[in-house]
Amino acid sequence: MTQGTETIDITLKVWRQKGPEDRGRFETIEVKDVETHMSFLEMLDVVNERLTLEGKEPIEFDSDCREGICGMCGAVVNGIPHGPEKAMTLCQLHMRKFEDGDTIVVEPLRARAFKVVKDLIVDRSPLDKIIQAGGYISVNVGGAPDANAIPISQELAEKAMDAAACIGCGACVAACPNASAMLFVSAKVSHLTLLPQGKPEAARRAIGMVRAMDACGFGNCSNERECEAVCPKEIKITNIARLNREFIKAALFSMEK
Amino acid sequence: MIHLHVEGEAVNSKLRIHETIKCDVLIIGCGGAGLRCAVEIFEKMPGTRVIAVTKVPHPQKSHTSTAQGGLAAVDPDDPVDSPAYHMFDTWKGSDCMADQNIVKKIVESAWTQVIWLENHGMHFSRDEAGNLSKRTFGGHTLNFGQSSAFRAVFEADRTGKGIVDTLWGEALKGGISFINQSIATELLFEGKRCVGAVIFREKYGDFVKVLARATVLATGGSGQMFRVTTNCRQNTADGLALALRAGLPIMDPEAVQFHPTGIVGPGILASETLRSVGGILRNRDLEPFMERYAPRMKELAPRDLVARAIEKEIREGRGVLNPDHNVEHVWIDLRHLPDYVHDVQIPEVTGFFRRFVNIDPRKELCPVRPSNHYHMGGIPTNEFGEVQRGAKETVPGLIAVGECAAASFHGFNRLGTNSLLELITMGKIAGERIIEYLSQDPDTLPEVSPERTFSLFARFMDEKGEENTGRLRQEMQAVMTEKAGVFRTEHGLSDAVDSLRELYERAGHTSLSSKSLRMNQELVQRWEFDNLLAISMACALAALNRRESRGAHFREDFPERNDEFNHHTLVYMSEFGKVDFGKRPVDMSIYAAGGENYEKFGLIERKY
Ligand SMILES: Cc1cc2nc3c(=O)[nH]c(=O)nc-3n(C[C@H](O)[C@H](O)[C@H](O)COP(=O)(O)OP(=O)(O)OC[C@H]3O[C@@H](n4cnc5c(N)ncnc54)[C@H](O)[C@@H]3O)c2cc1C
Ligand code: FES
Repeated sequence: MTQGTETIDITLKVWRQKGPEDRGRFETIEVKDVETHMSFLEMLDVVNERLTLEGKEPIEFDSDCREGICGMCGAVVNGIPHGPEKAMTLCQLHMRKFEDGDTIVVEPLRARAFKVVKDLIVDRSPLDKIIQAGGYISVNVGGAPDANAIPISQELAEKAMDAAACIGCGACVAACPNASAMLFVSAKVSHLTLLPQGKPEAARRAIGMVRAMDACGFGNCSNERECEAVCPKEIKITNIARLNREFIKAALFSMEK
Repeated sequence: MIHLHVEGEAVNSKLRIHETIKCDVLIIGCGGAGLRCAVEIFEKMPGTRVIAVTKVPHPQKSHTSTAQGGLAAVDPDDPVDSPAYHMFDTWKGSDCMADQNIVKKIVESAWTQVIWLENHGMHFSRDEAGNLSKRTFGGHTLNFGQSSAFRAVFEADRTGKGIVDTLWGEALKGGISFINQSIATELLFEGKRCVGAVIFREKYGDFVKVLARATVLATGGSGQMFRVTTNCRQNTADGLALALRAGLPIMDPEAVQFHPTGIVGPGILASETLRSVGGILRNRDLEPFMERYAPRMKELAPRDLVARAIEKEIREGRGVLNPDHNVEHVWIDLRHLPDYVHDVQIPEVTGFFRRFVNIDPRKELCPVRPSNHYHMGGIPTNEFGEVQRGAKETVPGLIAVGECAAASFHGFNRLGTNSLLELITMGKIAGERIIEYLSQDPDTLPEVSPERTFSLFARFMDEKGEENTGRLRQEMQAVMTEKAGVFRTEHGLSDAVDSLRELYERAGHTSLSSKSLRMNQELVQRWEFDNLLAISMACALAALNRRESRGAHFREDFPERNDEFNHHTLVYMSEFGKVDFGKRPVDMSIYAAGGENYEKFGLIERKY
């Protein structure tokens, strides 16, 4: 350890589960000398190194970019998906936010539609099924020859841009009392529907994606706003209002036919 | 014969093929390159059976998603920019090692591919008039080096993510089958033809054999060879190792790029944008030292030059020591930039400093140090992405695209924003080639069996000792960073080779805490470590062999470029540490054609 490095001792209460069928339980691990400049995931790396040196199985968790871009990390820390800091992914959370002697409870991003694979890893592939039901553009925009030939106003562009920021981490689902994926779906629908390229299929998309969400076992939105509060990309709940409008329009439209 | 101890016996019976799957095309890797290739196949030949494998739990978490800056593309109707300038910049940047046939092909198809993405729902940032916005990037110029070019289109600071989201949706629409969280462990051959691969599914802890009429390697980068890297944890050079183990060569493994401004600590990238908006590099005495190294381009000189300048400052005692990480660094000064720039142009990067190192770039100096960033070297291919066995001969049925491949578009130094461009252009070209291949190739797939996978995994299961893979990996990364990093010498590289041999030995004395095959990240890390060792070795040996300095490869004992080395190096490795070298000439067809400005494409000097 280098001079000048601050350290703290913490107690981890971490969820251990061998597989989807295992019942799972909390394990308490005392972690000494945690350097406070470390990120939360680096702290878990250190814990895992110590566990393997003791011949014990490391705690399985997902991560990849560790920059807050890919959406792969995620766990519930002290009751909040991605932990207590606003607008952050778990990999962006740092140990300096904790105090010496703290007990930290770590659980997977639980939801009816997300099965626990092992320890802190959950299967978020139901989100893929929702995309499969319409999260893309399949009609060509009249063979538009040039991107610049479809100018898009900055205001519209910004709204669509904010919606496109979703990294599909699933924190919104884990935060929602109904385990709904509405914020995720609405972000995708808004991003595509606001743009001229995406307009032609707006109806089919909204209906398809919402149906897929239901079929995957996600719950409904009852306006709890928990999702907005934990979203690391600060996706706004107004997207859900837009999705509802699209959905109603689409439903009416399909009844007329 | 492999002996497993008692605990392993149950495991041994699981070391077998659980299932065989047949398809038309197997794509290993779901980043921008792999997915673009898949989508091309679906568009031209709907109904093709495509299986795509990715190490990560979800395809869109592939590393391409973390690319921030943008994608270089010249609109042929642009009043000031021209594809010829872009070709020249790429050639000059590569230090005369890019292949000109590839450069021409990619640059000329760039704009069409941008429009293709836009039409499929990618959301490029717009300017006030509603048109696509463009950014400058280091090394991209107008009029053959006269002034900076606005050439990179982007989606805010998440261009890569926009590409992957779009391609992922398109691939799903086409009916792709994904095998997630799984690794390809071995390529399968019938004679010289590649007919698929063995896939280890981590979630189920079993092996499946995928037989395919065409196989695509799109496994991305190899940044985990180095201690400080901007690359994600999955970038362990798997594709390159698969090729080497199959007796195929890798090309120019010594061509490794270091990005000048990694954030000290996490090593994450502080985008080049910081320098293009006016950030100034300063040493311990707060001197803006780039003025001494590149009087004209200063902070905007290409990456290798800036990285070397920073390392030199540090080595000559003008660096600053960071107590938390015990590393020396220099500063990037952003304090003088107006609020508007902080808020609108570089919000993400300023956010990185705040979140990861608790520094407010408006008020404080930010610590940066060169960080490994990109592998120019890779699996050699021709201009269609077909993998080469030698300078001319290709491997039927095997394609490589993206960062794991070397066509080569980047030569010995890649320009910012040229990688994303390569993914979307070469991905498409490879897709077209596969369609041609499928229409000629008879629809028969042989029954072949894996040769290496099971003995390798049995060995990992059986290893006993006190060593720890994670620790060994860190040691290897430190060796590579120190001895095969920004500055290289005969002495240092020889040391590196010795250390790598020793680490390889010691890796045989690791033991796994769990012998289960299911969700065993330790096991996968052990396998990855073997790959990293092999490619690090190839890199160190090729760097020893190249007694000159070129692009990102800088030999202090041979600081000049030398025409004797105007060729690519092919490296074959029959067993660990035992290599044979081959040569592949650099294509200079633009120069040879003798058209307008052809002289700019000769063996030009690289000064900025
Ligand atoms: C921080 C950062 C910023 C960057 N910014 C830019 C930029 O602005 N502009 C630009 O042009 N370039 C940029 N680059 C470079 C560029 O992003 C990469 O070179 C490019 O994304 C690589 O794409 P790929 O498709 O080849 O591989 P990746 O996107 O890395 O995908 C590789 C795929 O292969 C899979 N895989 C790997 N091994 C195996 C295996 N054994 N079995 C099965 N699957 C496997 C992975 O899971 C993944 O799906 C940046 C790079 C970094 C690190
Ligand atoms: S690991 Fe990529 S967002 Fe956290």
